[in-house]
Amino acid sequence: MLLQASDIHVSFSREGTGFFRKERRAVLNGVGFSLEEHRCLGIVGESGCGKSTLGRVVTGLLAPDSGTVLVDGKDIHACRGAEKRKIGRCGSIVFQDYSSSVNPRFRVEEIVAEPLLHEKLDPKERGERVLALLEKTGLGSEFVHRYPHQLSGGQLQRVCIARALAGSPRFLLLDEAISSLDVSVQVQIMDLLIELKEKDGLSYIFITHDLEAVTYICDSVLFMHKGRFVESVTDLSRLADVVHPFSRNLLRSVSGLETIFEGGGERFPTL
Amino acid sequence: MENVLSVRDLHISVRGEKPLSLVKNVSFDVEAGRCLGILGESGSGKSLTCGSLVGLLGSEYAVSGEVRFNGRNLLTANREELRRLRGAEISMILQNPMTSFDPLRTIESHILETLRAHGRVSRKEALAAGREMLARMRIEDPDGAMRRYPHQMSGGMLQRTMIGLALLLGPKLIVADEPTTALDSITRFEVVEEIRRMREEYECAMIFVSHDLGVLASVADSVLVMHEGEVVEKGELRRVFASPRSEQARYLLGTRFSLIDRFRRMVRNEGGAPSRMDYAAASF
Amino acid sequence: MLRRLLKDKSAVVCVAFIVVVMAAGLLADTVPLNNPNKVNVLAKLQAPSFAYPLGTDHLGRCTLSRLVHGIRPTIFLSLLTMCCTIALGSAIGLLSGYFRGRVDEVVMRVCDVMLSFPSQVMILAVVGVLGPGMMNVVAANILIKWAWYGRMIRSSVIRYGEKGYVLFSKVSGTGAPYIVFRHLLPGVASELLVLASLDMGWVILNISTLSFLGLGVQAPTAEWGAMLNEAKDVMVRAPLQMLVPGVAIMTVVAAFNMLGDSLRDALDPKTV
Repeated sequence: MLLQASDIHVSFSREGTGFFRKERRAVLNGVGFSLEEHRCLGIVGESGCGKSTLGRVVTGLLAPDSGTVLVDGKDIHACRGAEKRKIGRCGSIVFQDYSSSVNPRFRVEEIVAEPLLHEKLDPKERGERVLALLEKTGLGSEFVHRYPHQLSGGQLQRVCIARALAGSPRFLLLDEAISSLDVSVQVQIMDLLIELKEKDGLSYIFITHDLEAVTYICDSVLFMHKGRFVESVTDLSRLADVVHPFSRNLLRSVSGLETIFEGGGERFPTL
Repeated sequence: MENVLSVRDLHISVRGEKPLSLVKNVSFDVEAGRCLGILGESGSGKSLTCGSLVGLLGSEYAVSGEVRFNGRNLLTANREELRRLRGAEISMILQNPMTSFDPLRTIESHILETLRAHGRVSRKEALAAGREMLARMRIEDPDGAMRRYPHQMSGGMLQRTMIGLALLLGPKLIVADEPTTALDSITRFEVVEEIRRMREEYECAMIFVSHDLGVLASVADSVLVMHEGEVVEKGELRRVFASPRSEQARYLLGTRFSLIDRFRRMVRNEGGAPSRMDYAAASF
Repeated sequence: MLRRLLKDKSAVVCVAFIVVVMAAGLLADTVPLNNPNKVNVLAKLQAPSFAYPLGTDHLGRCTLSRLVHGIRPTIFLSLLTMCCTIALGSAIGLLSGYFRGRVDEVVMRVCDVMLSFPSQVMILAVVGVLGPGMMNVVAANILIKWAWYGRMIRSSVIRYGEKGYVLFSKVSGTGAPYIVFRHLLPGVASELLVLASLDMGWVILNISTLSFLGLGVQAPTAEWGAMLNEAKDVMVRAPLQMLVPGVAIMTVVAAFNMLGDSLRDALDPKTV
């Protein structure tokens, strides 16, 4: 088991309460899941259900109130210093908002090379590694010296993926990584991710609100609602058999639009 | 059917030492009671086109061409005329509902402002009209909703409120700029349903901008495909879907279908390649 | 960045003006001017003439000469004050904003206390305790102003700390020094520079005010605020004596303010 999260509880203090700050708002209520090697796990839920917070806990950015996250058997929140950094590198992250995910003052080369800092490579070697990473994500050498604002959304997200891969992680957390892109670009990026998974044996945790993306790229999916997992589907061909009201609602929403779309705009009744 | 809006040879460029042309030769008509979808990727110029119709672009843009609404060329209208038109005859629905409302004021005060800006109406009448509109948008507890601030409402409810506000003065044309893009799947479906319902009830024409074909298929009658600032295809939605002529339309349809194909297979357990698969997902 | 700054015409004018003024201040001793401290009561309150291009003050000293010699205390002391205040405030703000937790709480409460006192009154109080004199004025300014910068820098650091690239750095195990100096500081620096140049005007006015009140520079040192003080008694008889230092302060403060605006535009990486 590559990653195992158990009984995660996270709460934030409520805004605008009194001096003693007793009131807290629970964001994650005893959430747990596991990720196997070479698998893509989807976590799907509506805005505000806690999926992004879970992403932060699992990558070591946020310490939970209680619960453990074991990466390769080691608890990442129990370690400190160099040990923590080493385990933390097992996973990397790609965010939804690509424009604020990169330092606008850095060129693409510097952005992608950051995870390589601790390896202390000489400039030539570093340059070669950066080029290789860019090539892997479908970008040519002409991108090396560009600034982020000179790139399109899809290109910038590819740079973020290249950067995430630089540290040779075992798994990648994709936090709504394609939601801000055009539909046509979403498909391109997902194709890239599928290719990388097959070539490099990566695992993914794919956080999204879009069920279609889940069926496109994931092997299994967890439905999240109000800080809890309400349903799990390990065989996606059985997706239509979900029972929880939230899952059914989501399914209906996506199918509804698709039915009309498939009819080429004919107004069919919704599911 | 008569045209509510006629656009001819619209050109938009950025002023400066080296003027940069962003939108070129855009011409289209919007007929009364019909919805025109504008389809294109980010950067294709669709939002700029919308903004230019009612004079919302900043002074750094140079706009030329003809935008005929009610017999007047909007591009030559002065600010006061445009102000009177906006809201009353042409309404806009924007992409991000959170930033479209003043966070420091209640929904009630937004409604009052909209109604009062366009004529003398008593506070009581304005609130009654607002309440009725929110109820028609299927917002539960309209009174409670009116007293709330924008951040206390979900994205979906806010977007529905925005649609309600757009309809409040009975405009002839509603311009919607990617109204469902920032919403999650469930709310997107609800808002699209709302718009479909609204189109059946009200007699207004609509321009709906989106990069998502799935949403356009639900609301638009005809479609305009834009690519790099130019119109590459236009026609009835069903025709464009059935036989797209431009490469861009084929590409957009192709990618959309590859997304739906796997979903269909999982959900409906339909195997094999149905007829729509002739659009190969060409990578640009 | 420099290239973009130079494209903005008002920025070029401001920078040129400030550079000229500072150069004049530095070269005051080498340029052939009248002795600023030479008292000649017979020649008091004269109108501008060839010998005295801006006239003389109430003690017959050359106004132009005093103006130029006054650049050093006015502007350079302000710069010194600014630099120390910024250094202290930024260091505290950066540490507070990056590490958060209890350190942040304590520092912020201290800032709250410092900021709750009206600054002008506090400076007067501190100078009152320490006694008049230039260095005491500088010390008082630093003591009062660091909290303001500390707080601004801290909120800036917190805001930048939430950005995707900082979060990514933390996930990929990048060390804290890299994050602070390569990611946080440059972002914060541009805001800092704008704040500083806008604040420069305040500091110049402050030092001049204190000198005007007799608490800063002591006679007979030339300083613009002190010159204003001395000229107020003869305001009606020889208005030029008030106008000269007054206009000087005004133009230099305005130049710094406009420079601040231009700097902010030039440092924004998106406006290329």
